[in-house]
Amino acid sequence: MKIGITTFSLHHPDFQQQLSSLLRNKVVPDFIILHYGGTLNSFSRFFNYAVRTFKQYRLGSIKQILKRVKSEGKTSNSKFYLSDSEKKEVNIFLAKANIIKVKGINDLSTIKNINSLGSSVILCNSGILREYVLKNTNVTFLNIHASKLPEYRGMNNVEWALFENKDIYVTIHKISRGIDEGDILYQEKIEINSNELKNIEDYRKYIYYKSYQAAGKAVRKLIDGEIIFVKQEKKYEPLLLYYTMHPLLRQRLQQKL
Amino acid sequence: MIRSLLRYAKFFGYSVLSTEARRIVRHDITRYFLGQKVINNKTINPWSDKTYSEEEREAALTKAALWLGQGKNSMNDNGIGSYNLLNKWTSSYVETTGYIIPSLIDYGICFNNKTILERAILAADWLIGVQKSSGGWQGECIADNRPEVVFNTGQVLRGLIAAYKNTNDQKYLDAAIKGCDWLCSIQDDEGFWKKNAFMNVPRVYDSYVDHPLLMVYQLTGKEIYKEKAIKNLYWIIEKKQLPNGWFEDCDNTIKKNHMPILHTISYTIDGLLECGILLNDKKIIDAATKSADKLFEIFNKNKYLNGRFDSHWDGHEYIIPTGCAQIAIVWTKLYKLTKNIQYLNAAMKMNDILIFIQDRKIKEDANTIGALPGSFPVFGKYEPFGFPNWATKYFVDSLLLEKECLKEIN
Repeated sequence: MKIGITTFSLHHPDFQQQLSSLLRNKVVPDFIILHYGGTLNSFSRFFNYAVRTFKQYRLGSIKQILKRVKSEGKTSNSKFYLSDSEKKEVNIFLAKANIIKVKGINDLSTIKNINSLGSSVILCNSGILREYVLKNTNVTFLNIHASKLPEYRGMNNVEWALFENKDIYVTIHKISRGIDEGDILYQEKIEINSNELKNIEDYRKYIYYKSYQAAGKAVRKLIDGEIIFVKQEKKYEPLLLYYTMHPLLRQRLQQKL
Repeated sequence: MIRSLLRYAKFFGYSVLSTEARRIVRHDITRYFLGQKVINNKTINPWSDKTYSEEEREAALTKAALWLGQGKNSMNDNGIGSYNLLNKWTSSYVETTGYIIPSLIDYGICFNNKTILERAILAADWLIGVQKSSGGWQGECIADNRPEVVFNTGQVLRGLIAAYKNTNDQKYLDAAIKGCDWLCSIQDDEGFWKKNAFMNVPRVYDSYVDHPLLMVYQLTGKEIYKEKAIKNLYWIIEKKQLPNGWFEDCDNTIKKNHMPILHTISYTIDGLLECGILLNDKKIIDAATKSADKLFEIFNKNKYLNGRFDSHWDGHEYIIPTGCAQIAIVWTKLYKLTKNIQYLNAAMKMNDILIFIQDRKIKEDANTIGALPGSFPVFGKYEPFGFPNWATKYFVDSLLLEKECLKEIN
C-alpha cells in the first residue's frame, strides 16, 4: 500500500503540517499530488494554471516571493504551527519527494495518473472531490475533519461544537459521495486549554493544528494494522448537516469564549 | 394567458407613467437581475452575502410594524388594507386584519408603543362590527361583501383571542365563541371543511384554523372545539401528506394545486406545529417537522426558496416573501421546541433575505416604506406590483421571534 498526500501549494501551512505529522510518525509519503484548482472554463483554467505555476514553481520575482513568504509567516500562528526543526524536516523531504504535477484534482487526466499509482491511501487536501473521481479511482482518499462524526457534518463544525458546549474531536475518515459520511478510520478527543485561546480564530488554529497531528498517527496505525475503517451509523439527515454560522450567532459565540 | 398578458401590459405601462411604480420596478430589475453573478457555473444571487446587524434588524422591524400600524385602507375604517402600485389601497381585508392584530400587540408590548396597541384594539372592535349573524366572517376585502369563509373566520379568531388576552374584555371572547360554534357546525363528517371553504373545496391549510379553535378551547374548555380540530388535523396528516412531507390540496387555487404556493404550505406546517405543541401530540409535530425539514434542506442548498413547490419539492416561480417569512417563523418555533440551533440559523439567514428585499435603496413614500412586496421581484406572479399586508405581518412576526430567541441566547 502506497501513501500519498495532495495539495495545490507546497507552501500551504495545512499541507506542511500534515506532511510533518506523517514524517513524525515515520510515514514517508511515496508521492505528493500537486494540482491547481477545480474544473473551470477554458479562460479561467488557463489563468488559474498560470497563477499556480507562477506561485508553485517559483517563477516570480524575488519581491513577490518575499511578499508571499512574509504573508504566510503572518497567517501561521507560531504557537500552533511547525517548529523550526519540523519545518526543516519538511523542506528536506520536499527537496527529494516524488511530486506528481497534475491539472485539477477533478480532472480526467488526474484520474489516469492516480490509477497508475496502484493501491494507495491519499491524505486529501484539495476541497471537494467529484463523484466520478471517487468512482473511477482505485485509491482511498482520507479527509481530516476537525469535529466529531457523525454528529457534526458540514461547515463551521468547530464553531458549532463550541456553541453547543460539546467536546471537540478530530475524525479521519474515508471521503465518500455524501458530505462527511465516509467510513471512520480514527477519532480522537482534543483537549482544550481555554487559557491560551482568546477568540474563535485561536480555537480554530489550535484545533486544526491538533487535527493535523492526529492524521499522521492515524495513517501509522492503519499501516500497522491496528485500526480499520468503521461504517458511520447515521447516514444522511438534513439536520445532521451543519451550515455556515450566521454572523450574529458567531458574535454570541465570541462573547461566550 | 391572454388575460395575464394584458394585466402585465397594463402594469408595466403604468410603471412607465408613475414615478413611484417606475422607481420600485426599475430598482427590483437592477438588483435582482443585474445583481446576479455566475462563478464556476453557480449562480450567486444578490442577497447571498447580505447579513444585517441587530440594529439594522430592529430598524427593519420598526419600519415594517409602523407600515402595518398605519393601517390604511380605501374606506377609512379601522381594518387594514393592502397597497398596490396600480390600484392603490384596497378596502380592509377582514381575514388579514384578524391575524395582524397579534403582531401589532406583540410589537406594541415589545417596544412599549401604546399607539400601535390602541390601533390593534380598534381593529378588533371593527372585526366584531363586521361579524356575520351566522358567527363567521366574510372572505377577501370588506368592500367585496362576500359570504362567510372558514379559513378567514379562523384568522379573525386569532385577532379576537389576542385582543381578549390583552384587554380581558369578554366581548372579544364572546365573538370568538360565536365564530367557533359556526366553524364546528359546518365541518364535514370526514374532518375537512368544504361548505363555506374558499372555492368550496377542502384544503389542508385549514390546520391554520385548527390552532385558533384550540386556543378558544383552552380559554373555554368546550370539548367540541378540540374534537373538531383533531379530526381536521388527522385528516390532513393521514390522508393528504405524502411520505416526502409534501401536501395534496394545499393551494388556494384550483389551477396550481399541483404546485402549491409556499405561503399556503407554510400555513399548513405552522398550523400543524402549533396544534401539535398545544395538544402535545408527537405524531402531529412530526408531520409538521417532516415538511419543515424538507424546506430547510432546500433552503440551505439553494440559499433561497422559490414561490411554489411541486410534489417532488422542485421549486417554481419567483420568491414569495410572505411564505419565506412564514417558514422562517416555523423554523424559529422548531428551534424553541428542539433547541436545534440549525433551525434558528436558517431562519436568521432567511430574515436577512427579507430585510434585503424590504431595504429598497430608493426614495419612497409612506405607502410602501417598510412594506414587503407580494413577490420578489415586485412583478412576480403572486400579487404582482402589490404590497399585501400579510407579507409584512409575517415579516414582523419573524423578526420579533428571532429577537426573542437571540435575547435568550444572551
